[in-house]
Amino acid sequence: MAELTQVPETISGRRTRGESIALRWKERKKGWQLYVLMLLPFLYLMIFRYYPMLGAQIAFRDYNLIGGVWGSPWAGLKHFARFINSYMFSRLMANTLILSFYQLIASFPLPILLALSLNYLSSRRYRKTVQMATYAPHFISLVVLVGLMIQILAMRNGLINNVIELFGGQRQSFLGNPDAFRHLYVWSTVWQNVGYSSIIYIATLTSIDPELHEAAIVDGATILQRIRNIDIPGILPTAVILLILSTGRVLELGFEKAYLLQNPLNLRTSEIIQTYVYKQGLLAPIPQFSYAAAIGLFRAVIGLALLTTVNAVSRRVSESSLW
Amino acid sequence: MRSKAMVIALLLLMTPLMVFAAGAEEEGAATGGVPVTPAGTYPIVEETLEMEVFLSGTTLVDDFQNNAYTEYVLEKTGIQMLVDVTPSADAQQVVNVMLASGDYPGTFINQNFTPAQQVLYGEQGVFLPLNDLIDEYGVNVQTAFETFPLVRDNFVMPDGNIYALPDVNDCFHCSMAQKLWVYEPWLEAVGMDLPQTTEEYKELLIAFRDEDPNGNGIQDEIPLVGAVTGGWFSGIDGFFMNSFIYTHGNLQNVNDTYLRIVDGQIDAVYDAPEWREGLRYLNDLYEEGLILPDSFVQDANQYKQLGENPGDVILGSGTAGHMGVFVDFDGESGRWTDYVSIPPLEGPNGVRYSRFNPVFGDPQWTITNAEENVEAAFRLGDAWYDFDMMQRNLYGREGIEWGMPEPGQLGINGKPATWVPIVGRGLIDRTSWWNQAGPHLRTRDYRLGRYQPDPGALEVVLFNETTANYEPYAADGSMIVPPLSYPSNVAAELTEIQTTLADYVREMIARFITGDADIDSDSQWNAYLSELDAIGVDRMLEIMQTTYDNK
Amino acid sequence: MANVTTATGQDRWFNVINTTIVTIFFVLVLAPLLYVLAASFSDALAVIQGRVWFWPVDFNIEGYRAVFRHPRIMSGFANSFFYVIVGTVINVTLTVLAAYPLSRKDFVDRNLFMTLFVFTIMFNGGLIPTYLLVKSLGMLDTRAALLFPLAIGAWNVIITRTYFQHTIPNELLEAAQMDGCKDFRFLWSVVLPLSGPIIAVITLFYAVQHWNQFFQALLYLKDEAKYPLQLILREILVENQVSSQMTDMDIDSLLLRQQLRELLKYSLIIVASAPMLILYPFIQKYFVKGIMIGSLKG
Repeated sequence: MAELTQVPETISGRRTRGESIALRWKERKKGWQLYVLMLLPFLYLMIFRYYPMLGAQIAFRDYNLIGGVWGSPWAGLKHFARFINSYMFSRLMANTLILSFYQLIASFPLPILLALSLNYLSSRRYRKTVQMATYAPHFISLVVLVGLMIQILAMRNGLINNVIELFGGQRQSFLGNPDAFRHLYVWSTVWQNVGYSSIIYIATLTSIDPELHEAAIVDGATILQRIRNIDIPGILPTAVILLILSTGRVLELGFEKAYLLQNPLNLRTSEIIQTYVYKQGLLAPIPQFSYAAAIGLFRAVIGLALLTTVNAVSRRVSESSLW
Repeated sequence: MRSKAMVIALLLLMTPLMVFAAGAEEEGAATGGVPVTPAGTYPIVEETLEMEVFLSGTTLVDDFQNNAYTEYVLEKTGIQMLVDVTPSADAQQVVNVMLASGDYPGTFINQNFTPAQQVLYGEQGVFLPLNDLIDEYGVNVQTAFETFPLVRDNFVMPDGNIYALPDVNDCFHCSMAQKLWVYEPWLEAVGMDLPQTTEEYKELLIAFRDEDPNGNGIQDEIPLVGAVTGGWFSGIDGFFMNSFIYTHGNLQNVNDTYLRIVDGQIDAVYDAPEWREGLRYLNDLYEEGLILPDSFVQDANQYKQLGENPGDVILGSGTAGHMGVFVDFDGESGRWTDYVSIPPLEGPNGVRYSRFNPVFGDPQWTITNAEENVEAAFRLGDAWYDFDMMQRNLYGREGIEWGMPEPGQLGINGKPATWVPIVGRGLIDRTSWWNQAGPHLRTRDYRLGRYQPDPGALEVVLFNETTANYEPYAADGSMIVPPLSYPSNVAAELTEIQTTLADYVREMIARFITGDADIDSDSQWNAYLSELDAIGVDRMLEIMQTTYDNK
Repeated sequence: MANVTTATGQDRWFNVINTTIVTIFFVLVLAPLLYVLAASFSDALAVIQGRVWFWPVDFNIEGYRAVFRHPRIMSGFANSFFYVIVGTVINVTLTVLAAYPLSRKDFVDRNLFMTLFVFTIMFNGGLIPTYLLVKSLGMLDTRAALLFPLAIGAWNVIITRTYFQHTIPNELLEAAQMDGCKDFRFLWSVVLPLSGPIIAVITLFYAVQHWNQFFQALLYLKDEAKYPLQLILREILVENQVSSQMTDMDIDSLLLRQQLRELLKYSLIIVASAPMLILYPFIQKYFVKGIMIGSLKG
């Protein structure tokens, strides 16, 4: 920390604290237009995001109708304790984290590879057609997707098992296998989203200065070399940012897909935080607002911790980071 | 720094808005508003009265507001309903938010509130107690309670108040819907009769497996199959376990608790030695290749694909509420008429039960303190049970979709008919009825009094099968745990245990049957029992017993 | 995009392998989509029996008829188009307004604002507080309720910021500042024209989000005339559900309902996603290399 001296040490180049503050104000005034630009978004955040966030305090209360958000009795960490001490807690955390990280790692490189791949397809029309096709699965509803999966994976009549038997193999019960659950979950999600996720990379690739490529071609570079030296550095910032953000959302796995793929035989791995909370909500005689809020807060806090960690690492290792 | 101060200032400015945080309105009086005509007479009000009502949208109705039934209600009672509809799949969430934010209508017509919710909102003055109104105006409701004492028990809350009106639907075959169906032509093909014991049934399945009853030279027959998602009572466990111990549970029903009452004590059956015997039996069938492995993972679509196999029949027997779960009611294959039911099998110890689902009544028609015209709202609810109103709600317009019976026309049960359908139910004009939304009194006689000349009709078939094969073995109502309302301090703990148990019990049923866990291994069985203890079975039973005793 | 393949041997191998892999992937992706399309035009019994593969069996359009017969299907489409167009304009405007200052190194408080945004990705107030807010703003049962509460997605702000940071060279900014160009003008005349791809991307993302939304509508809207398409479609699906417990139906009706339900699953997907699929090629136009930078340099 700079010391507070009477005479500014301009000779050595170090600024005093007072001078830093003054300098910052000068910068702010200079960039006043930027603040104006930010005004509307800021108001949006305050009104529509931060004000309702005050309502998240119901996680620390026993929310009831009469008291409302501010008047309900204080419950402290009771709901958090209930969740953490619940019988299934460690299994739920493990299942959710494993599934989520698996999904993160599997979903990360493929959209990039797809974008690069498409970028270098010689036929423009083919490229556009494939792009369209890979974008479409995003719109298939989960119910239909899981229905399709159950159909092709069935032990008796399913397509996959029919093919396996054709090649002399043994029929397998994929759906009833707890270990298979994770693979099925992750790769079907990848299938559904790789096209949609690759869009941002495709856009980024097109914004790379074409002169770089022209120069490289003139220098005799192969496509692979160009990918390595031009495209990847161009995409890297976006990729890193998305990775950081995805890490923050690692506990946010939705319940619907796991719930649909669940059956009595694979519960060991298919019961995640959100499916458990959902079932509790179904069985619970009264709506569990505070409990659900507590679990949501718990997931968010852990996610934030992970996000800041990865952010710090990436700040050191690469040039891109959120802060 | 100033920007941070700005943020704080802004938040402080928002404080007045916080006053809008939810708070329930003051307790409403259970009377008031527009005067009503004497009980049981119509119209209900002298001048046309508008009333806001909330509905969970049901299938097969396009428009509740511009609807023949809504018009009929206006005509008969003088009340013009203003209907707010939400698709039923999401209604519960929307209703929760409405109640939590203080933004609710005067009457919920068909929202199913659990006893605990009724007590909770009743305590907070949101739901109005209906006891006095029932005594003074509730002609039809009183009849419903008198005919079904079990329903009345279920509707009086621990605080002594009644907050909802019952929808009573005494569907005979539904009360014993856990059935097993077998393809009759195959019985003839292998030369065996309908099995009566678990042993005979096993022999039948072996015959199905080995003797090629569909005659195509390929061993493609599926002796026994079920499903875990979708369908109706499609899980494979419930039916057979009832040959070893009374089992009020089915893999396909996520809400089943597998509990029973013995001598006034609530008991969990899944830790009993008889339970182990039952699982052993099923495991034996599984090891013999008689149960299709997919039964533990597949959904109703897959199930039906097997039943409707093009060409040769491959489905020998299946668990379901009715055969329409796994075969189509299609003229082409026509297989559904060839499946007959097998009565509960007699186990090695002589145990033989049909699972019985008593009528407890579904809570509907709650009136909130947002309703100004309480007496009128109540009388409208009571009017819902009136035959003319009910009939139009259930089936549409008189003379167009249904009519009154002629003398000599008989119902499903062979007695004189109570009403006659004119068009098929699925073809009813979608703005002419409300598809049963709201409370009604459908007694067994009413339901079975529907005119049905075709002895091959589904309802007739089910009536006959249930009467012949399942009614004789029906469990007594006293063995079944009624809906209970738990005090809030234990409700959280209870839900926790119940959810975990629901998962674990089902998981182990499937694993023991498929052999993933060894039913013959004492150490594994004991590990299972210890796990149940660790999850908290005893504590759960303790809580439930206390509540049950206090009823 | 200019033809970027070269003739060197290694590149030829690359192209062969690349095209092969892409084609395999293409088939994997296409197969289930074709199935859905085929099933939506097939006879329900054929679907139930599993006889449908990639071509309709016993062609019929019952599934589509059931959808378009609904009285509010057209208003559903109209409403959704409204929400998509107006909503996306609001979204993109606010997002760019937020992302640009965040991308400037000389924006003193950018870490503070960044924190504010990132925080909203992780935390939110929950259903009830948001509902209460919408109610107290008088937005219940208005179209505004579907336009403003989710007006800015922090995720999109961040990817836009990243784009600005790495595509607008600092030299450009410095040169403009020396010419006396202020921030507003710089954003409008320089940054935006260079940002075609990212604006196309976030337009697409927001448009899809609006198009798919139904839960907000469910919660905030009472007037059916304002319902977006997805909510109507959901209603249709629910309305045609036949629970196995409906045994008091005559066989013909039961059969009709069951068959319809089968088809509806598939035809609803096609109807719901078709407009977004049609939109995509228009967005794809912006993914053309160098068109922006080139025009500036010229």
